[in-house]
Formats: sequence, structure tokens, C-alpha cells
Amino acid sequence: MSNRGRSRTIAVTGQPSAPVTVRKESGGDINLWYFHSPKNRRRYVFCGELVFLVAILLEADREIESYGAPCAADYPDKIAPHLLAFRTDGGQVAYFTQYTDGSARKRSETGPSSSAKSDLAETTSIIVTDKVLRDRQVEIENWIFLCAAMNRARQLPGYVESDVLRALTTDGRPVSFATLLNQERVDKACMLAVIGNSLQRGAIFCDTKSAPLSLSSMISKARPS
Amino acid sequence: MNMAWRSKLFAVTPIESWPQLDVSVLSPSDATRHNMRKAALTLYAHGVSHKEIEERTGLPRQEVNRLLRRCTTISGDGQILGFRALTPHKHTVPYVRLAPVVCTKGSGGSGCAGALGQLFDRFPELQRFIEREYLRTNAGKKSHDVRVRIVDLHGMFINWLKAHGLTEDEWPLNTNNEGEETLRRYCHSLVDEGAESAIFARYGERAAKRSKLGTGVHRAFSMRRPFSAVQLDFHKVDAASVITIENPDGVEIEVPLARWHIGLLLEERFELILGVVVALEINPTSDSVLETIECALDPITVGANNCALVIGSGNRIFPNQLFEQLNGQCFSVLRMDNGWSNTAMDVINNVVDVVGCAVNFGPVRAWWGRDAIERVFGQMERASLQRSPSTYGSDVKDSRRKAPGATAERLHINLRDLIRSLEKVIVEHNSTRSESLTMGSPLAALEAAMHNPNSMFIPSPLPKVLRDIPLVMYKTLFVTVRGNRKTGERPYVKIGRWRFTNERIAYDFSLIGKELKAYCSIRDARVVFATLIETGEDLGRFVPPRRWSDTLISYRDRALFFSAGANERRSERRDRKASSWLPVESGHKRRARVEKSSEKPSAKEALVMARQEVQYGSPATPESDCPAPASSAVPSTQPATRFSLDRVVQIDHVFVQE
Repeated sequence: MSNRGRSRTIAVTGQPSAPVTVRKESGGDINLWYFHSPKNRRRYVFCGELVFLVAILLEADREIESYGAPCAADYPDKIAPHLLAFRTDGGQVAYFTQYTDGSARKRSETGPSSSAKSDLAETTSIIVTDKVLRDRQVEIENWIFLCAAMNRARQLPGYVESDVLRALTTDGRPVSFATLLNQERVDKACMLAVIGNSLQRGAIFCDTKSAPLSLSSMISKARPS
Repeated sequence: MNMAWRSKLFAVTPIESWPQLDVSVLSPSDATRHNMRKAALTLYAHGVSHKEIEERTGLPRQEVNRLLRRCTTISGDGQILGFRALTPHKHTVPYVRLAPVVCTKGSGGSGCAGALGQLFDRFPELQRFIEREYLRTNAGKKSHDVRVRIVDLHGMFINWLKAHGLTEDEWPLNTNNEGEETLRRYCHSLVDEGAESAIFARYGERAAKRSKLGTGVHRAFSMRRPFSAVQLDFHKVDAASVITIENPDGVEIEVPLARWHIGLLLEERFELILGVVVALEINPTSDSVLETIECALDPITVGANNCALVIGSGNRIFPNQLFEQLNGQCFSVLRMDNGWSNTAMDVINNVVDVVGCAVNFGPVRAWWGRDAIERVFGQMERASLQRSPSTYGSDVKDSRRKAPGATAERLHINLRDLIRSLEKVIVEHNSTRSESLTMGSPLAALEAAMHNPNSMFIPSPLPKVLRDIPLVMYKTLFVTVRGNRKTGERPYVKIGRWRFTNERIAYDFSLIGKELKAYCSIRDARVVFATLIETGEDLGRFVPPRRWSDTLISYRDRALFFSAGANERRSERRDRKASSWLPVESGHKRRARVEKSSEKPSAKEALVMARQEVQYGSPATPESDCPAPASSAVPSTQPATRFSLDRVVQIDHVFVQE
């Protein structure tokens, strides 16, 4: 069985490959996404929209330490996962993506059976469908926004903004996005990045799952788990 | 069907979940019959006895069982037919002919329903043959027709049947049209099923890709937040043009072009035009792409000596010029076309580094993924460009194509006029109410979102430190430090024919020959920063040549001026008679010099001397060395020829063209 599925993740080392090169392996009619991961601090090329959307959800998942492209050599006779994630508890999760709606060709892509298991120890396989992702659109869009904000200011320290955020959330009362962004000394770009980083680390809490982020979204200090 | 079976059936498929039928579309009598049947089945599902069902609905047990079988048949959509099967005369299974087809030679097709299906049962490979030929996607052998016509396929069909033993008194050979209409309907049904492969085979790649739209299935993900996603593309303008541009001194330079482009950045949520650039290039470069993006990020301002040939220079056109809050406003996803310039890694790296967004390249040639931007281009083309008489049109048969090259020579487009007309289109588009925004205009919708804290708009500008440095979008170049110790030429680098230097490198001759990585601003060619590759040392900002230090000109425009100006200079030089001002050696002086010299005359010199002798005879002794103007020469009324002695004129000095 070919190990070279159409949907996949390419971890970029050095200069990323041009789309023309990537398409030679992945096919002409696939969506390509060039993305810098704030969690992993590296660049990826995602072949397939569903793979990219899963990666965004992994950025938001605090139980995921990191994620990346699987090593093809580990799957000599099987379909390699589209994405491999590493949990904070040491486990691994192999993600496959699949369309359940749309053309027959789309639906026939990827497709290990639901019982497919990796031979790697402590690896769980999960098949993520477009239906599942459609139900999580709000969360995905929120985190696409936060990831871009984190990337924009990644070279900047953000000390001032971190101090302001800490000061305004210390007493446990929620504070709005608007309040944080309108503070005198802060750079809006850095503040958004600090908010994103803090949410990612779990230092603060904001509902990113059920409601789109807005200026009136409330942020509070994270509840102890 | 006993009670146990009955309860098992309705446990698996509760009658309340059966697909329903809209009874209002039926005639009154059909509706009555449908409702009666439905009532009978409902009673049956609730465990009522057949006797009571018959008393209440008039339907006997056999009829109820028959209806139950029909209703639990699986339909084409994967569900059971449910109450849809109760429609009178509805077929629940495809018709299968059992009786042999009987018709006489020359008769029509009546009485032959299901004959083709029967033929397929008899010859299974015939069905495969027809599907293979009708849905062929590649020519294969020379004899194969990629898109076979029905009439030709019918011929192949008949020949196949005859080769497999069908006789003249069997269907379809014994009918008038020999089953051609039946075959046609069958072939159309292959495509009617909507399979992408079938559409591809019969109508081409574009149609097949287009068929992916409108399936009723939403995309896995769509952006709702303003400035979440933007689309970038370049539109080719197929108008042969001679475009006149003005340099900083107001001198006009002409740029003849067979084609040129418009780059556009469009915000997806409100379909708001964020930035537009005119790219006077046969193919858009990565510089044009970056300039388009920068136009949307950093508002264009006007200053003295502004040489920017940009849209929005001097007028408030774009949203970031209209709303201060949008100064540096970024986006989360950039969708780009797969055109080659867009996919230069320069662009991708620059955008991901600076804006922090994800960059999406959709499937190749999938224009519908960027339908909004294509729609805007259509508006621009209609509004300002198709009025040009010098257009190549869409193809050679386009009636608008009327000697475009010749027309272009007469039609001069002033770039400023073109920019003004495009600005008008942009303002009109951004301000026009749209159905997709529930009759709000893109600008009004954005303004409302910006003022509503509960909307999804969140200001997300570039970091201030980046906005303070005029290097939002940059081009990276590898340059070598030049200079010369011996002549005292201090170290410098040359970028775009300009010499850049700064105190750091000017006083360090050891840097001569070293490689630098230069970051050049796309918008302002004067702005250059560089690092030393060997050590990674930041060498800081470089200083442009003094004569340009007050002139704002973009990286692209500088290249355009030099390139277009060089072409004009070359052609002007050819035409200029400046050599008429320059004296050349007279024949005798040349001869004297040659005779003095121990070297033999070069072939050129010998030829010149020989011509002079033929034309003007033996050179006389000059009276002075001062060349006389050409007018002092006695003009000849006849053109001098090599062997003509009519024009033997003794003149002291000859002015010849260089």
C-alpha cells in the first residue's frame, strides 16, 4: 500500500518548498496551506484543508504538547497519518482526515478504516471528518485569528503587555479585549500575541469554543484544573 | 409478517422518521389515496390488527403488506423510500423487462421498453463497451475519439452487436432508428447521474471542476470575521498599450507593452477592495505582489517629489486611507492564485514573517474558490478597460481585435488617467450597496463592524515597531560590497543602479568583496537595510545617492523608469545626427599617420582611406587643421557612388556619421 497519501503534513526545515514542488507529490487539486505554528515555533506546509484545520485545533488544545509530520519510515506498509500529535502525558495521537460529504473522489481520499491502529506504542488513531470540523468552526476561526496575532509579534518580547495582562486579571475579575487593547502603554499587536500565548498555555481563560472572539469577549484568570 | 418481525422493523426504522411526502403537490384524489395508505401503515406500526385496519381504511392485509414492502425499499439516496412510495404509480424499482422484445422490421420503437436493459443482461460486456467509449478521457490509439458523438457511437454499437451474433430480426436491428434514441437517452443518463468523471469525459476539465460547486454541501470551514481572509490575484489586461509615465522631473517616458496587469487584494467577508496596484509588466513579479499587499497594510501618503505611480496617491481611496484605525490592519489568511509569481518563496516567506498569516493556495485553476476577486476584475475590465480600441480581445476571432499593434501606436494611455479611472472603479465598488451584504455597501458594513464592540471585528495591526520602520514588505537581495583602495573609492553596494553606503561600511575597506543580504523596501527604493552574511552583523540602514534622497519612488517604478528610459535612449541615439558635429581625420592626415606608423593600417582604416580616395581624389595639403563645418563642403547634386567621378570634390575636411 502506498505510503504517499494526498493529504499530509510537511515540516519545513530551512526554506519551504514552493507550491509547484509540493503539488508534484500531492496532486494539483489539493489545498496547500503554509503556516507558522506558534506552538511548535516552526513552519509547516499542510496538504489538504482538513489537515490544516486539525492543526489549528491542536494549537488550541492544551493537552497537546506539540504536533508535526509523521516519519514515513514508521509506516512502511500502512497509510501514514496526516498529522502526529504528542500529548502532555507522553502519549501520541495519529490524526487522519476524511471527507464524508462532497464528491465521491473526495470521500475516497485517505481512509484507513476506523479500526486502523498504528504499530507505535501508545498511539491512538483518530479520524477527523469534515462534519466534525464544521461543528467546530467558531473555535477554528478564533484560533486562526489568535495564531496570526501570535506570529505577527513573535520576535517581540511583550513584557509590558504581559505585565498589564497580569495586573488586570490578578483579582479574578474578568476583563474585556477592548479594555486590554486600549491600555495606554500597550502595543495592540503585542497584546493580542500575549493573550494568545496565555490562552495557549492555560494561564488565562476565555471562551473560544462557543462564541466568536470580539472586543467584548471577557478574559479571566484561568481556573485551577 | 408476525408481531415479532413487525416490532423489530419499526424499532429499527420508526415510522415517525420515515421520509415524508408533500401531499399538497398531489391531486385531490391522489392525496386522498395517499393519506388512506399512510393511515393504514401508521395503524400497522402501532400494532393494530389487520382486521381493524381494513375496517378503518378499506385496505386488506395483502395490500398493507405490499405497501410496507414498497415503503421499506432502499432508494437512490440511501434511505428507505418511506411514505414517498405511497404516491400512486411511483416506481420503486427500476423497470426490468422480462418478456422478449417482439417487433417487425421497420417498425418504430413502441413495445420495446426495457429492451436495452435486456440487451445488457444478455451482453454484459456491451454495457461496459458503451460506457468506456462514451466516457473515454484519453485518445489512446489514433483511431479512438476522445469525445465520441452519439451517432458515431451508435455505429460502433451496431457493429459490435453484429459481430457478436445479433441478427437482423432482433432488437435494435429490426427498428427504424436501430435503437439510436434509446442509446442517446442511456448515454445522457450516464452524465445526468452527476459523476464528476462523466462530466470531465464529456465536457472537459473546466466543467468537471465547476461541477464541484453547488452540491448543497457547505465547505468544511468558512470565514466570518472581517479581515480574517483576503484574496490576492493579478488580472491580465489584454490591451496593447503605449503607456506614458512621468519621471520626478515631469519628463514623459513611454512604455510600450503588449499586456500589463492589475494586482488586487480583496477582503473576503465584505468583498472590500483593500489594495490595487498597476503592474506595467508582461508577467507580474513578486515585487508587484508584495507591493499590492503593502498597499493594503500601509496607507499611501503623498509628499513632495512623490514619484509613486500608484493608485491612491493623492486621493483617499482605500479603506486604510479612509479609516485611521485600519493603519497596518492585518489579516489571518491570504489566499493566492497558483500563478508563478505569486508562488515565489520570497512572497510566502515575507508575508508569513511580517503579517503572521497562513497562506493558502487553492486547487489549480479553481477560480470559484476566489469568485469574489474574479467578479471585481470583471467589473474593472468592463468599467475602464474594454473601452480601449486597442485590445487583443479574447481570441483571434474576437471582433474587437482590430490590428491592436497599429492602434497602440496611435493610442497613448497616460498612466495618471488610467489610475484615476481605476480609482473611480474602486470607490464605486466599495461604496455600492450589495445584495450579499443585505443591501449594505462594503465600506458601510465595515464601518458598522468597527463601531460595534460585539461584532467580530478586532483591530489587529502590525506591531508599532514594524510600522515605524518603512520596511513592511521588502525584497531580499544578495549584493557584494564594491570599492577600490587604490583609487580611494570607498565601499558601497549597488542596488537597482544606485549606490548605497553608510558609515559602517564606508570606513571599512576590509568589507570589499564581502557578501551582504540586503532588505530593500518595496514601496520606497531609498530604504535599504543589510546584514553581513559572514557574521550575521546588522549593518543598519544604508544611505541612497544624494540626488535621489528626496524622491519617493518604489523599487518597481525605479526599475521601470530605467528600463523604459534606456529603451528610449537607445532609439534616440540611433536617430540623432550628433555625429555631424564631430570632425574626423581628413584623408591626408590619416595617410600620414598610417605611413608614419610602423604598423600596417587596420582593415577598417584601409577601407576608409580607399573610399576617401575614390570619392574625393588624392588628398590635397591642408591649409589648416581646423575642421570646417559641413556646410562649407560643396554639396553634390548626385549621390556619390563608388565609381562615379562626377562627384570628385576636393574638400579639406569631411564630416561623416559615426
